[in-house]
Amino acid sequence: MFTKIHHVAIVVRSADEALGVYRDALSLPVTKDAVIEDQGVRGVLLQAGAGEIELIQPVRDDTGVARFLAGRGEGLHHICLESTDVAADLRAAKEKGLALIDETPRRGLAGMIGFLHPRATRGVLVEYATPLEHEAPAPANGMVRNLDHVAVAVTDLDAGVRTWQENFGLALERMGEVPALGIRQAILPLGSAFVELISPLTDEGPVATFLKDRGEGMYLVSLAVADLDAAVTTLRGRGLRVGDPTGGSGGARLAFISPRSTHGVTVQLIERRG
Amino acid sequence: MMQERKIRVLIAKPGLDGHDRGAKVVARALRDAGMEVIYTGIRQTPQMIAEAALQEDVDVVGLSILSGAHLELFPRVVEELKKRGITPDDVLLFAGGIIPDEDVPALKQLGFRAIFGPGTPTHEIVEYVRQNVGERV
Repeated sequence: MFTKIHHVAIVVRSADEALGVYRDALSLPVTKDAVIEDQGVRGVLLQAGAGEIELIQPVRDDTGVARFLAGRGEGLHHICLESTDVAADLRAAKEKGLALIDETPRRGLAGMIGFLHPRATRGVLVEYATPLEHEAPAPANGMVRNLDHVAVAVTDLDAGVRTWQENFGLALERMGEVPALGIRQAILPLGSAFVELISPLTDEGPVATFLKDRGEGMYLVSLAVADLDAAVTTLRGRGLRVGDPTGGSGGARLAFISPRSTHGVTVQLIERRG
Repeated sequence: MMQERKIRVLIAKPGLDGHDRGAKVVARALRDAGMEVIYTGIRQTPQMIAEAALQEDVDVVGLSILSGAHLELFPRVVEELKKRGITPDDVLLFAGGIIPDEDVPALKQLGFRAIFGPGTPTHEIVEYVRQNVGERV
């Protein structure tokens, strides 16, 4: 059973450089920083409210992460769901016939972990993790309140919803069209965050282009901020390319950070009411 | 070795004119040449174009205009880009459509490196973009 989005992982060429953005500009506190020898990576976890951002840097060339970096460049790599029992959830996935990378849990940065094959989840690499111990959350920072949601681009929204419902038991909260953005969306909550599936309404526009060029997969990460205008001003002052705040749905306001500034990831900042 | 990143291009139509055949032909030609091309659709404001350029992290922005409002709209697009930290040194800016010769110097001054009039063969635009897009690190 899954309780929250534990983290969203980003493959980077240099964790030190990426820390300049995620730790220093976005003010996310580092909770773990370690080299995981068997995976050939350095992983850094940074707290974003109830969720985390993980930076992964390959330290050897013969690993999947190194191949990902060579083939696709820096960017979103996987989403990790926190499980109450990773071994049981991996077994359940196997019984459902999902393709697994790990049939049994192993030690990872987030605790005991296991990966599903991306083809099990329409192009999204999914990790399960059960933390080994309960750690006190890092102190809140002044800018980012929470990992708000992860958007995943899919060609067929209904099929995408079924995948996330059936694979992980997520519930569909709502589904609808957002004509202003040229998309259909489906919202599947998980803990204090949610997975948003998006599909394009026409064969043009950013989401359609993304699907044509890269296929289905993770599209953006959204971070909830306390004060959007202040965050935009601060981040621009720290040299990031940041768009202007605009209105979103439900009274929320949004701004985007360019992937050029965030090591290949479109980061959305969202200020929610209340 | 790092695989070469595809050139990313935004083709946008600022302002009120609703004719986008030329823009679509250029978008298709660049896509056929192996680039990732995002076409924004018609009636885009300068803010919308700058936002799309930022969110899509493009190397090239091509504006298409037939309405005659280029001297009014193009400076606003450049201004909105700069506000977001994107200068004409960071992206290759070009324009196409109906633009009188006497307006070209003003647009070049703004940072538009090339202006393509009606009847320009698409391969010329493809070659221009390939040769002039900045080296990406």
